[in-house]
Amino acid sequence: MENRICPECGSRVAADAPAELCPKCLLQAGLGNLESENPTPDHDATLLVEPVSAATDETIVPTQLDVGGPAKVPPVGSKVQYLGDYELLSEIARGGMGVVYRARQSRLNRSVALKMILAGQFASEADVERFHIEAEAAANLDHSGIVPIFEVGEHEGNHYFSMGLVEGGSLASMVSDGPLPALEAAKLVHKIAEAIQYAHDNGVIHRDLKPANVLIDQTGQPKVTDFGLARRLDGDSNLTGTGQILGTPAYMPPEQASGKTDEIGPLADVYSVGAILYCLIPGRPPFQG
Amino acid sequence: MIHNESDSERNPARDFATTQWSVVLAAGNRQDASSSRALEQLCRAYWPPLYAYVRRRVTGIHEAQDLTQAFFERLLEKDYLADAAPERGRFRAFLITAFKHFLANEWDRQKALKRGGGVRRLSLDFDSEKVAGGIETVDSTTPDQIYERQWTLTLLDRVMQRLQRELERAGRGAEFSRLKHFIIGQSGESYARAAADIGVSEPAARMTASRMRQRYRGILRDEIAQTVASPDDIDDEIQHMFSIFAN
Repeated sequence: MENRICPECGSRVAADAPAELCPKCLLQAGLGNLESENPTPDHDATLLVEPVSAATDETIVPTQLDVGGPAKVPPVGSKVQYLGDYELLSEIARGGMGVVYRARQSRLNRSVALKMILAGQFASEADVERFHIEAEAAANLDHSGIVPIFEVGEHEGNHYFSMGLVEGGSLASMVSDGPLPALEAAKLVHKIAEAIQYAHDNGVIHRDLKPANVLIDQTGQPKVTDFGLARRLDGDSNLTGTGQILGTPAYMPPEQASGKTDEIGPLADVYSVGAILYCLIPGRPPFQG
Repeated sequence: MIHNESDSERNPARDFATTQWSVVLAAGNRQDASSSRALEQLCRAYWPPLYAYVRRRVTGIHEAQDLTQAFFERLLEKDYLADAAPERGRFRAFLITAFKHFLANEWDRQKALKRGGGVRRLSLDFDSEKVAGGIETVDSTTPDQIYERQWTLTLLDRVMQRLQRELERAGRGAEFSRLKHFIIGQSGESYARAAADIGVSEPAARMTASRMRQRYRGILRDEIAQTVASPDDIDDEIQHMFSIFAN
């Protein structure tokens, strides 16, 4: 039987290898860094990669990782779980503040992503207020480059909001495959910049822009999500006025990283957009702490 | 080759406790219908490694086929689970241990029995190119090494066929064919060219490949989960199989 050489590892690969792929490299890929395509405690909740056949519910796979946190959120699995009008189908992602579920809104019979605060009914007032600020800020934005917010609600002490379900993965998972060609990177960042400009024009800054917060839909178009730290430019919230650093350092401007929250404005997002562009070309952020 | 869609394939979110090997182990010596069915499904999936093993142990093809067939009839009829108790953690280890036990102690007696007449038989496709090819191409290794190697190939083949079926059901079979190589890397391949071939943008092709890779990992873990007693064993199994090919 004719063998060929694997371009990845140089091993001989039999013609009847699984899907004609090198078994050694397939196993290497199986050992691969699951965390790189799943959320970790260092990431905010972000919509991540759905199974490629996610058009049907029967192939939905919840994330393998459970990063812990208070178990005050509805489990999903073999039992049907409802949260208000939403049937929770699977857990998509879990971060420091929230859990994101794939859900079906029964009344409108549509698939949505539902983000719920992790601490549930025991959340602090500050957590609840920040959560609602996020929802309020994003709900007022209507742009093709921004994941839309549908509804904000509370169910038995659990605060949540529903948003558009993007059948794709994040820019972070895309770049984990390797750097992008400069032209492709520039086109993506151009669209991200237009979306952010729109948000700024409407008085909203994001403050945590990073590749993991940019989803790529099935047509390859970027959509900014997770306005978890957003605030209105004209808002009077003092939630982050205590010097508490919120955000992801690798993509933060110096003033934000040093906790000078009073100085954070639209330019913070501009810095982050630049850091994203940088990341896409060599495959790593400009600064790694 | 026979492929059976497990419960977890239809709904991977189900508890680990419902995997095939854990169902068999949980039933123990008092096998019920569901555990018998689970054992039969496992046997249908993983007989090629045993056949590869015995092909190296005996000279005649027909003798190897008879032994393989007889073993599975025996396995499905008689309690071998208790005999292989120390190896019960993983179906891979249990199967080869039970087969060796069969070859050492029961083959001669089994040969004298006339099979049929109500004995449960598995329909095994000994002419499968996958099975024959996998054996012929390995000629300098021990029977145990052949078994381990063929086990891994059988499992990976199931994983890739599941992934392909899922994509084909979603009407994306062409994307699977063109992008599957990106599951293992991108040496010698260009996303731009692949994207052009299937008529999508390069970012879309990258994203699809990334999703395929993630789904591949999920299916791989699910298939392994069907053969081990604990989810803690999954990573060890991948490591073990990798070491077979790395060496």
